[in-house]
Amino acid sequence: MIRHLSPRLQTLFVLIGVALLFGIASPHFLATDNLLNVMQQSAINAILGIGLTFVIISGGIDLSVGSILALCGLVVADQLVAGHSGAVAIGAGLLVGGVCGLANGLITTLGRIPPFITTLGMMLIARSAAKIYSGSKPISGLPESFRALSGSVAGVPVLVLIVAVLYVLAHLVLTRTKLGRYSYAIGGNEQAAWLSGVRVGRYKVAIYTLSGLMAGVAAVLMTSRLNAASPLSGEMYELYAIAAAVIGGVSLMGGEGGVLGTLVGALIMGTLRNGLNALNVPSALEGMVVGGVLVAAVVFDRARHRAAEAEKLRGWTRYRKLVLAGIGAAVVMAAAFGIRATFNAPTQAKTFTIAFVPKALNSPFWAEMQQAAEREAAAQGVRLVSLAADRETDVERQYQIIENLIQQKVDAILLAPAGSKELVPAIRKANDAGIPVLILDTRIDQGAAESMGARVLTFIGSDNFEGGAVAGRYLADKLGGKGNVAIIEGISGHETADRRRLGFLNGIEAHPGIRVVASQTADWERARAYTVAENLLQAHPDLDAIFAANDEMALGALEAVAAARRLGHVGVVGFDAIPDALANIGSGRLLGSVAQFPGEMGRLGLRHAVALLRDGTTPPREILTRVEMIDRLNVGSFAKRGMKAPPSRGNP
Amino acid sequence: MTGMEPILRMRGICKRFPGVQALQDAGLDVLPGEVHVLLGENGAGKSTLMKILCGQYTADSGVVTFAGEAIRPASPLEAESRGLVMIHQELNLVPGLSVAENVFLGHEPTHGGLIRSDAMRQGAQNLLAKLRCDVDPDTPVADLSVAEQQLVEIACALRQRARLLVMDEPTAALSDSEIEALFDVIHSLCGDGVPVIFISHRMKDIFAIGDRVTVMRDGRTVGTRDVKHTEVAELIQLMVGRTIAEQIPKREVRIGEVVLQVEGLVRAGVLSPVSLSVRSGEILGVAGLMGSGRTELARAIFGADVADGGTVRVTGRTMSGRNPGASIAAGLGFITEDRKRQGLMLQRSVGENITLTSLDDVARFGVLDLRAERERAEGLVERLKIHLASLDQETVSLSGGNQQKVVLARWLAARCRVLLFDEPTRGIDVAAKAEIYELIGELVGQGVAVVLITSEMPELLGLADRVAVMHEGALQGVLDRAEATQERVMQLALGESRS
Ligand SMILES: Nc1ncnc2c1ncn2[C@@H]1O[C@H](COP(=O)(O)OP(=O)(O)OP(=O)(O)O)[C@@H](O)[C@H]1O
Ligand SMILES: [Mg+2]
Repeated sequence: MIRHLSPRLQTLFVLIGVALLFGIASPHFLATDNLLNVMQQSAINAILGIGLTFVIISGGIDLSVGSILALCGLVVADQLVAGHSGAVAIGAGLLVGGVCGLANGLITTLGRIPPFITTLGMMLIARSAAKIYSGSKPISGLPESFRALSGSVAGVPVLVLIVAVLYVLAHLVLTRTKLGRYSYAIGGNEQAAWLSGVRVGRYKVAIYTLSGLMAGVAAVLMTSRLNAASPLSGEMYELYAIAAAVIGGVSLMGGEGGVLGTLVGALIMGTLRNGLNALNVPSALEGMVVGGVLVAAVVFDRARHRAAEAEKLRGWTRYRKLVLAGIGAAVVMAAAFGIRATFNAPTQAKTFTIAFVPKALNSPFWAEMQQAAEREAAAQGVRLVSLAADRETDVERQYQIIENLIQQKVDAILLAPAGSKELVPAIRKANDAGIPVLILDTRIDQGAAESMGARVLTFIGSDNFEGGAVAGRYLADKLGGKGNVAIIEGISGHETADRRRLGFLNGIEAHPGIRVVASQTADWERARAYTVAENLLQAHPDLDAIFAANDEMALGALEAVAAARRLGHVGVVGFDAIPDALANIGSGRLLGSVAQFPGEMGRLGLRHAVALLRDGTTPPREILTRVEMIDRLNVGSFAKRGMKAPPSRGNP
Repeated sequence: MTGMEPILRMRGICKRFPGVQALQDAGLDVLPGEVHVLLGENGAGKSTLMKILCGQYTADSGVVTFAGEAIRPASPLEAESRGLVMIHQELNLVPGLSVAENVFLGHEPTHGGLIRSDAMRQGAQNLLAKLRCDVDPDTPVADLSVAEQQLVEIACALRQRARLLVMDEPTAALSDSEIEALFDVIHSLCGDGVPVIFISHRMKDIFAIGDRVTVMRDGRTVGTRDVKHTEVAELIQLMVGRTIAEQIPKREVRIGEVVLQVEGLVRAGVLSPVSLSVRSGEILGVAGLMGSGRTELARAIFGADVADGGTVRVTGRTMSGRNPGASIAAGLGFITEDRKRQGLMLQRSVGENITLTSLDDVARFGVLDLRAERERAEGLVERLKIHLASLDQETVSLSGGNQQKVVLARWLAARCRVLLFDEPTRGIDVAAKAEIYELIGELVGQGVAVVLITSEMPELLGLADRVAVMHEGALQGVLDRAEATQERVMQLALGESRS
């Protein structure tokens, strides 16, 4: 019994150690509320982890759970919006998850295809199905009653209770049933299991179905939590779930590990993320820490194995030193940040802490916004905390960040929402905690906000419609009022993308000679835009110009044009005026780009937040920042103006 | 040989594993150029002692002196650099790589950083030729039989320039002619002054090749004898502390109805149509040379390979769905010869391995009764006298012979009507062999029909009621107990038809 527990106990100790460390470094961390918070935030990962644990123990892998989660979430939301009862909606979601898993299992066993391939395929298929099903738009407006799933019972979040029940069940299934025993047997030696009469195929199908089902369960809970479902949710979640299992001691070789380890693994990951937020560690470092722990866990596990198997004392000590060194480094790092956090902590009661939460911090656009906010904060004498998810599409992560900020009791939140509907419940939570929320860059969906009673103080952002119109008029003018143009859209369903496209159409309206021959999405991505443009150029030899809804896509399209040797014949106009685009405008390759002023958004956002906190001045409901067409003629002067943000409408 | 200085001296070696004292004050002297046989029951500590010598384990205490120098190798690599090379009992080849690639693994001949596959192929071919093995060096190891794998493993060891060679049960899987070739190689090594430590449970080997023999019991070395001046009875006495009848006991049982009936079973290129039947209480021995299709026959009967035609009937019912699960449900059992690849889940516990085929007996609606399962496993461990520290022990930590017993235990638990045994006594000590013969006797006494594939002639002739002889995938003939002599069996096995 002890022998069975020991590896799990080790990870448990790591969890407790990490938690204590954060507790020391940050006063908020060990509060009951925050601990429950950590559990809630680990819940989705933990649930996916159950399925992955079974799959990996049986020697397989499932890469599709993240996409299945997105698809199931949409099905649930759609059913609810269509007026069906909660039970029907949940049933439908679970059914879709189970069917996807069943398909994984059947294809893997009947087709004798490695599960890596099957589930990789399912990952792409389910994601695509989710986009088609939803028209690439998030679904929201769910009945209030469905939110009960993410409420609490006697102070304990329902989510946490559900995870607990699922884990007890999963543990019993794994240790006390044929299904569990055969999972180990198949992973331990598939051929031997088969020759011993285990119906390997059937059990594998059952295991993959279980994994799909767990994705369905996770989808139901996530949908309830976000009060909406998005076709982009759950990206990378399969990898996080695999990481949780591996940290918890499940061997990717199969035949080893257990669900309790995975639970601890998921909690370790949740704790690290939450704790790092609490210490205001830049989110870019998060991956390094979680990744470090993952690798350390495996090194540790291997070392333990080797020690047990061969009792090679020298090898073992070598690894132990390595692991200790790794843990030591992590401790020191955390301590350093902890100290830094304490140093930066307000010394007088008067200093306000304002949080800035962009969609991500991975582009010059967000960096500029953040730097401007930072400068303004310094000038105003307030503290600024900037936190962001790794990817713009990770809505659930942004949701968690806001929860963590509420725990830290920041004074105001500047939010650039990653989803116009999905973040509404988080805003509601901030409202309830008395924290004002100011929205930057992307609007919150009016209907969703109203139905949940969420309030935002103001919206500060570019006039995207006007920006699109500026680009449209500019192109029409350049083409002399006659020609064929194509539009490369952002993610359809995104408010920004829609407004830019509509603005553009509005801008060319006055010129009947301008014909839009194609309008396709490239999901804001440069590489996707390259492919889309390549196809457009093939299909339309008479194309004269391309309007891309952001510069990343414009630059992708530009390279495709260059590769097709039609530079100079096909003009490309982008949006955002990022440095890379400006350089290309300077060299005459890119026709132009619509400049936004992210710095101004950051600066104004901070200024209004401070004004509210200090004097109680409420800002106007909407502040539109300027847009400007940048082309070869004015690119020089624009670049010189640099970070100095120009004045705009609605200045306080 | 007396008067010569030992080249290897091991003294006072102790080694403890969780739950077992594997070695207790074990010692050994090996003279230059001799073949030194290690003998002992399963789990006596032979492999462990040799693994300590070759750097796979480190001893808790004790001294090893090799060529006048005290050594304490910390890894197999370090031991190899001193010329201590070991052929392991458990095969350690990479299944996906070719024979040549396995032979040269980690020591590939290169030219400017590129592997010279021609040289590798040639080298492997030469080494295998010495062992009179004509396997194509390009064949993936996964496609080889156990015997062929064993030969490749030996070739790996011969490639290294050993100053002392340890062979842990190299002959367990080999046929007589291969063993002869191996002995020739050993003789030439010894002629060059390289001593060989040779572990085997086959008495025949010991007297054919050994110069001296050291016997181990319960982790201790209990005595060393000159092979010329000892005899089997004395060695067995040393080994188990009592005498064992060398005669294989043949039980008289009443032979009943036909339980297994095979008709025209055929697999293109592997099996020519085979028909045979086995009655309840009967033991049908299956003889044949390596590669004669014995294992393939068993696999086809069991449904592990898909046959191209023919029927298999168990207790009168024709089997339709041909797969192991269905066969077991119908009362067939198959004890495979390759326990590592086809038998055991080595990282899982002994208990789980034993009850794998019989979980249904302790499960209701798929939920296991853990206590009942444990009792069942304990009963079988006792019945087969498996040496272990605990049922929760990883199976990989059992001695080779005890691992084999775990496989047997699994199939005893399944309570089959027909059992197909493929080399069941491979790697099992004399005492345990006698127990297994006893066990097979017990099974037929209970009316089980047994098909026994074995390369051990005494076992075959001693146990079988009838002997089926295979040759090149075809059933060459079936001999009654009375007419089955070594000569007749060999004649048929070599392809002479029944006269
Ligand atoms: N890694 C290990 N962990 C725990 N126990 C072990 C380990 N290796 C060997 N043992 C135990 O040590 C004892 C000696 O095993 P060893 O393999 O040396 O036996 P052996 O004499 O080679 O037997 P056989 O003839 O069956 O191969 C056995 O009881 C075995 O279970
Ligand atoms: Mg051994």
